[in-house]
Amino acid sequence: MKECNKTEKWPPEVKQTPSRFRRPLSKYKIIRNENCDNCGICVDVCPYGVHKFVGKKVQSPNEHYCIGFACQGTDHYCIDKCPQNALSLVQNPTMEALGDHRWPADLILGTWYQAEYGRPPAHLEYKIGDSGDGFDRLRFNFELDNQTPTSWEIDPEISTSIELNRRGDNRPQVTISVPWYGGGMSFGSISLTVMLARAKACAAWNTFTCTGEGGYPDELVPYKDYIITQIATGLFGVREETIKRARIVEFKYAQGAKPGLGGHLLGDKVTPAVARMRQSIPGMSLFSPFPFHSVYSVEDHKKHIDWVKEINPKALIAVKVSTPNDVDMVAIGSYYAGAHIIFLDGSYGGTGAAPDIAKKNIAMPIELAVPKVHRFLVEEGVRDKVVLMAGGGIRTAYDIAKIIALGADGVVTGTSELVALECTRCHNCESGKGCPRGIATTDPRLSAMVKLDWAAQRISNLFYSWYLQLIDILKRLGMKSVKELVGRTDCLVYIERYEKENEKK
Amino acid sequence: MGKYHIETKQVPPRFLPPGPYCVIAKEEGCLGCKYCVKKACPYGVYEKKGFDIKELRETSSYYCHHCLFCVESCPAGLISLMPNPEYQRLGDGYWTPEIITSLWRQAETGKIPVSGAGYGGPFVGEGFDEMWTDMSEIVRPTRDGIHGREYISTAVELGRKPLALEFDPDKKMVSQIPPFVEISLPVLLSLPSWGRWDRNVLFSLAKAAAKLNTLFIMPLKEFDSTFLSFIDHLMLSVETKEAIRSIPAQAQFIEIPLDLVSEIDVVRQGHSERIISVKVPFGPGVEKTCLDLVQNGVPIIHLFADEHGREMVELRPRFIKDAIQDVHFSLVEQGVRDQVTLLASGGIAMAEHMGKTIICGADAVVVGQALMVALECRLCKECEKGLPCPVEINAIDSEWGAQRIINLMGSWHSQLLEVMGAMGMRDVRRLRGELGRAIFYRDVIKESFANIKKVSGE
Amino acid sequence: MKKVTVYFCKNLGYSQRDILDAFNLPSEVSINLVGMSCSCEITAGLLLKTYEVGMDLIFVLACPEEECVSGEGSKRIKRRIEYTKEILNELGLEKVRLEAFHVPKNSLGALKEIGDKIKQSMEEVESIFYG
Repeated sequence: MKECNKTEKWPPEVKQTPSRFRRPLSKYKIIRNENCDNCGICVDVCPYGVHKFVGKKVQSPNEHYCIGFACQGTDHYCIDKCPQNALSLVQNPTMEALGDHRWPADLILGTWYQAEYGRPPAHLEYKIGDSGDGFDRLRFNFELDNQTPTSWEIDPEISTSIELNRRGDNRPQVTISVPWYGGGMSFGSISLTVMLARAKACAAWNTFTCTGEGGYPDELVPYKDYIITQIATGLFGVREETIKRARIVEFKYAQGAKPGLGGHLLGDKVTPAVARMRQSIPGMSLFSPFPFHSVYSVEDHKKHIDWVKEINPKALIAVKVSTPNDVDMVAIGSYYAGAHIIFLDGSYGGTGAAPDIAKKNIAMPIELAVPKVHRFLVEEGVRDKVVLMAGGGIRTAYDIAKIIALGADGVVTGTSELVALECTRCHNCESGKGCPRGIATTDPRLSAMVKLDWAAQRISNLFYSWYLQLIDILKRLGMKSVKELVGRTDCLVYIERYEKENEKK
Repeated sequence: MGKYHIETKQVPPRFLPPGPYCVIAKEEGCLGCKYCVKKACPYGVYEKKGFDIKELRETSSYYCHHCLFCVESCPAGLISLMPNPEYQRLGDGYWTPEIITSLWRQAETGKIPVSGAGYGGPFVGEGFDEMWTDMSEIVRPTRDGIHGREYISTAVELGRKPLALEFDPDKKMVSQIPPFVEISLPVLLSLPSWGRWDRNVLFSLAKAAAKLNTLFIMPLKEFDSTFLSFIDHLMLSVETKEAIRSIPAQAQFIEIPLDLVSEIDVVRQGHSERIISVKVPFGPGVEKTCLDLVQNGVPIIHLFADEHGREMVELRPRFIKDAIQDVHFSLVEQGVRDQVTLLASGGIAMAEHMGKTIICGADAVVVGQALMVALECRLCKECEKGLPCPVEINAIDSEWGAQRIINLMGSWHSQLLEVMGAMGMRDVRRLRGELGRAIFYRDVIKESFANIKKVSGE
Repeated sequence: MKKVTVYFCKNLGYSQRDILDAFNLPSEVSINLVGMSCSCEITAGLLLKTYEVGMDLIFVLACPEEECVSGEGSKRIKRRIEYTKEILNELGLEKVRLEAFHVPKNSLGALKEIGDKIKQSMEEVESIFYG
């Protein structure tokens, strides 16, 4: 069963999956004035398909294909080629209303491009954001040199798979073909369609997605071999059968977006379906407490893990914790309690609603936590007995490679999958019925905006693009497997803000 | 004392607060679709928007959540969003439009600001943004949640404390216990260092202070008998030596500037129960000044920075979080920290600033400018130029104003509980100077990125 | 007292103070300066609503035609103004109550000239009333 995907096509196929909107956002705007006489020269010169005829008229431009001012000076720059001077090009002013520091507009468009085409864009950002530090100041050595352009090819010699059971206990090995799996997003915080799309894409890539804490909808059962069941502090929807069904069971102690705070699903999003799944009442806000009210120590934690191991003798145990000062101690404690996977959830990720004060302030970003934990586990001599996954703020293939070089084995993704589904990071998931784009919502009318096949393919395309980039990075570093990259901080450089530092002195 | 509870309730704004982006929908080129995308706006922006007769512009920015649904759906591409100049004009580089509008929302609803989709801000910043607060995976402060019966205390005492109690051979206490007062929230209310604030504003603050069980630091020159009913919650701020004579007999809390410190005994004469606070600017040598004050028996020191949290020097001013640490730890080193109450003010614009200032060594903070924002001030400072206030702040109803301030403080209180709950801490007095409960960017990045080669750039 | 509203594009880079100083209108005129994200925000509907609240004259300061952030605002503004003037005419209001100017960036001199034109328009309106 697990291997059947391997015998299917590997890697999964890319199908061009355009935006679901009539006028996808574009970085540039082309304005055609009334001088246009539909001569069609722009249609002929543009190699990107920006200009098209509809009947005898040139239709309004498909600006999102336009590469903008980079085209200036080429022999296909429509603005100069137009004999009537009917075209002009400007930066799209709406770009300023898109994205934020972590996900600037350019990176969102770059991610949308990857979700549409399954490869990195040439004229948009796909590596870093604009947060000013962390990932955005780290580079691979080779990035500082003049790089030879890549052809984005698959190299069968290079392995991206990782094993998730390194304890050497009697439990089965679970291998994922790419060093990432999907993080917990509950039914309630995202729509069922989106949940299914994630499961479908992850199954195709022979990796996992996670139920989150809102229960295990029956519709997900066909994908059960690729689904992690989460047990969180509220124990919503946790039943013996869901634990028995899973190959991996994840304990959620804390989550990066609101470390030290419980989960919180606002009443508006608790529809009858959600309430049924969570065994609660529609329209009533649901709190999952913080922390587990039966865990006060590593011993209690072990008791917890033993309990699940008893129920499901085949499951691997993952422990999700956030990133406090003593995260290294938490990690080693989890190892000794019997966990196979330690999942560190950094403070800058997160999908659902969280108090702003918690998102911004509590606990540390993932880039700073991973090296600390990696080093400590090495010093304690158990690093190769446990799998360290990192999540909460991973946006790009370069983020994935960087965090592995900092010491993680793999990553857990969430937000980027939603961005692939055209999330604009408007930060309104929590208000009213939820996401105005039908992603993080359970409102039937809104969630109908997302179609399953479309969504699954967009996520799969993004994974394909990441896969290509990861292979390219490993190739440039002269490595044959992503496992060689773990903890190789010597491959990285940190770009210091020397101006500011000097000023302070 | 029972559990402290701040009663918040919805208090609508008098002026529609501007949002960050304007919706611009061209009419030229409209295809006249049978079903226009504007009707499908998830937030009903196009239905709700009107014309603001005061600002002379459309109110779309207030309702728009910039989800870009309409922008991408209009087949003719006629709709765009653009930054709203009215929004961008709010505040300044420190008191950003985001902070101001968030304060407005808190003053309106009394609720904690909540949003979706993770954190979108910069990785790290200056001042308060150089530090994070810690959390604990399994320790929790109370058995039934942060709002449960077993509650987290946010009360602090103001006043001088004896370091030890002395008893005579008959086991009778001989120590004199100096006067002190407990406030329920580690925040004192005040006016900003600038501006012209009338009685309605002063009444709002006085009423809020009474309801919140804290103090309002009120200029003595504004005091008259109509404020007498609030006297238990007023700390009267004396500016000149002459004014000392006009301190009302009932006043228990007095604030004096540093240069009147020699007059302390005059202020106390015949009023031994009076608690006196000395106002000291953050600046070079402030540590020594504070030590002297403590040794001279001053019960409270109110340290103030400018509205951007910087100490009062031209060259390389310390930020309030660093300056208060220096003062706190120098007093700790001298073994006298526990005798005195340290208040800090300047640049406290968000709930997190309150918590972080306390972690860095203050017992409580004093806020002023943030309260004016709660009353819809836009920090334009036109009043300083003698121009009329665009939001007519002095024309407010003091009940309305008091509830806006109570709402804001209610939200800050809840946020403080969240932060302390995450740390597993039950008493805000324990938070004071607990640097171990903070994570400093400089320290962690040094440790975590130690093995990574550094190159200079940009 | 005459009531004047000036809508100006914030991308011109002039502050409210710059404009007030350059116009130097007589003190009995009440002037409202409203910054706009782009002159494309200014439509006939907006202008008419502004008259409705009792404005006597409205002026629009837009960027030079080729320098508009949105590419269209300052190109369209003249036509929108013409259209609005026709409506004003139908309502029995004088066309001189409304004018749009393309203003060069960083030129207080040009602002002054516009201020003079505004003063002229105001006089004209006055003469229609009282003359």
